[in-house]
Amino acid sequence: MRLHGQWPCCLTDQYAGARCTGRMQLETEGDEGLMSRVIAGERSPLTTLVERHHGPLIGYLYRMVGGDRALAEDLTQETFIRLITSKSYISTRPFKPWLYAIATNLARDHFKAAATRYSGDQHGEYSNEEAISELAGPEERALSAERHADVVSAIGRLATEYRAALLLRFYGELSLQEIALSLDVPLGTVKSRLSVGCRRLRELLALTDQEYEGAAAEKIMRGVKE
Amino acid sequence: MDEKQPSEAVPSSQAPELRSGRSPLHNGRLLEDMLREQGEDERSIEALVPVLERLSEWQAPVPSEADTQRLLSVLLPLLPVVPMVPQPVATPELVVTTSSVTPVREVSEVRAALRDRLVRPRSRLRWFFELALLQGMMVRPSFWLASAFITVLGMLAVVFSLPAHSVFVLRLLGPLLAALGVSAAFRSVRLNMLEIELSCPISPLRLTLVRLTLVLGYDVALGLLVSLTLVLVNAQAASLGLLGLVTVRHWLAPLLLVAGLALILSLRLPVETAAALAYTGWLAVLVPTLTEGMEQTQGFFTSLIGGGEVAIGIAGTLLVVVALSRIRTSLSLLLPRG
Repeated sequence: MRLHGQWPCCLTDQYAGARCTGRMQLETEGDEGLMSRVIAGERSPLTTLVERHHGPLIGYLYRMVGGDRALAEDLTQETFIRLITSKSYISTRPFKPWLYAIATNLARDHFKAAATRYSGDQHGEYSNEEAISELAGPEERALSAERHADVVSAIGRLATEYRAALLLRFYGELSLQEIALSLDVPLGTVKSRLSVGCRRLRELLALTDQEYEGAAAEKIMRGVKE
Repeated sequence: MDEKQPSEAVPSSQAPELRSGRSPLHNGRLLEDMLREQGEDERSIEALVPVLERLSEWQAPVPSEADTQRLLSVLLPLLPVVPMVPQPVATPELVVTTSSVTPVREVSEVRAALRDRLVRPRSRLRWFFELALLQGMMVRPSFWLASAFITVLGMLAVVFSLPAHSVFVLRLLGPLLAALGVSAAFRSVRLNMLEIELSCPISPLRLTLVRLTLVLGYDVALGLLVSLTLVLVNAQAASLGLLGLVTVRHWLAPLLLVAGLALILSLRLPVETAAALAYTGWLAVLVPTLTEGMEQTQGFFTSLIGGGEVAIGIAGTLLVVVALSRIRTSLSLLLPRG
C-alpha cells in the first residue's frame, strides 16, 4: 500500500492532498464496498479493485490453464468484464469468492470449448522459460526448470475440481469457506477435494520424479552404449 | 486482449505470495495449520507438507502497471451509466467478509443518509419545505437583514414622517425588495455554481422556483407586515375595511412587475444588472408621479400606475411565468464563458 505523498499526483498539482486522501481511503476500503460503488458507476473504486486483484487472479488463471499467459490474460480480462457488467452481484455477497467463481467458470468453459485436456507435458515448455528467465546462472536455470516442470506437470494432471481447490487454497490463500463459495460446493466437499487433491499431487510428483529418474538413467545407459 | 506483451519474467522475490511475506508455501507451520483445518491427521500432514512446499517452485507472472492500465482502459468504458434518479437503498447493512472479521459498511454513512433522504416517501409540501430550508442557506444573511431593514425604514417613514406619501413609499419599497430578492435567488450563477446545480438530481428549474418562492415569499411577508401596521395605525382608514387589500395592492403589483422584468432581463444580462435595470425602469415611471410642476406628466403616470395596479400585477406575474419557462432553454447562457 502506498502512503500519502507516494502517489504521482502528490507531486504534481495543488489538489494532491485531497486526491491522495481519497486514494488512501479507497485502498483501505473493503472489496464489497468498492464493488457497490463500481455498480453505482464510480471509476476510482474499479481502479482500486483491479489493482488489488489483477495479479492474484492472473496467477490463479495462469496456473489453472497450465501456464499459458496469453490465455490467462484473456480470461482475466473476461472475468473483470463479467464482474462489472453482471447484474447479479448483491452487496451482501463476499466479493473475492464471487470473483474467483467467475474466473473458475470461465476456465471450465474454456476447457469444455477447447475439448482439451491440459497436462504438464503440453505446457511445461513455455512455463519454464517464463518463470526461470530471471534466475542467475545456467545451472540454476536448468535445475529450476526441471523442478518447475515437475510441479506444472503434476498440477496439470489433476482433475479440474481438485486443481481449482488446491490453487485457491495454497496459491490464492482463500479460506475454506471462500473456496466453498467460489466453487459453489459444500464445505465438506471442499475439504474432501483438498484432501484428495493433495494426495493425488503427491503421487503425481512422485511419479514425475520417477519418470525423470528413469529418463535420466536411460540417457546414461544410452551414453554408455555409444 | 488485443495486444499481447511478452511475458514478464517473475523473480521469486516479486511474486505476490512472497511480497506479503506470509505465503503458506514458504511457511511450514502455516501449511500444517491449513492441512489441519481441512481435516488431515498428523501423519498425513507430515507427508504432505514437503509436497505442498514444492508448489512454490512454480511462480506465476506478475502483471506490470502497464498491463493493469491496459486492462483498466478496456474496463472503464464498460462501467454502467447511472441514472440521475437515485436508486432506493436500504439502510446500510453490515457485511462480514470471510477474509476478515472487520465489518464493512455497504456505503458510507454520508452517502447512505443522502440516498435515504432522497428516497424517503413524504408529502410534496414537506419536500418543498425541506428544499426551501436548504436553499435558504444559499442566500446571504445580508439579504434577509437588508430586506427587513428597508421594510422597517419605509414603515417608519410612512407612519411618522410621510403619511401623505404612504402609497408612494410602498410603491418605492416593494419593487426594491423584488430586485434584491431576484439578485439573491440567482447568487449561485455569480458564484459559478450553476454547473454543480446542473449535475444535481433536482433540476435547476425546480431549484430556481423554490428559491424565488423563498425570497419573494419573504418579501411578501414583510410587505404584509407593513400593510398590517399601516392599517392598525390609520384607525380612520381601517374603518373602511378594504384598506388592507388596497395597501397590499400598492406594493404587491410593482413587486411582481419588477421581479418579472428582472427575471426576463436576467436571461440575457448579469443578474445584478437585470435587477438594477428593472428597478430603475420602475423608478423612471414612479418618480414623475411625485414631481411637482409637471402636472401633465404627473397626471399621466399617476393614472398609469394608480389606475392599472391590477394590470401591472397580472403583467408582472406573466413575466415571471415566461421567464421561468425560458430558464430551462437559456441555462447555457448563464454558464460562465471563457
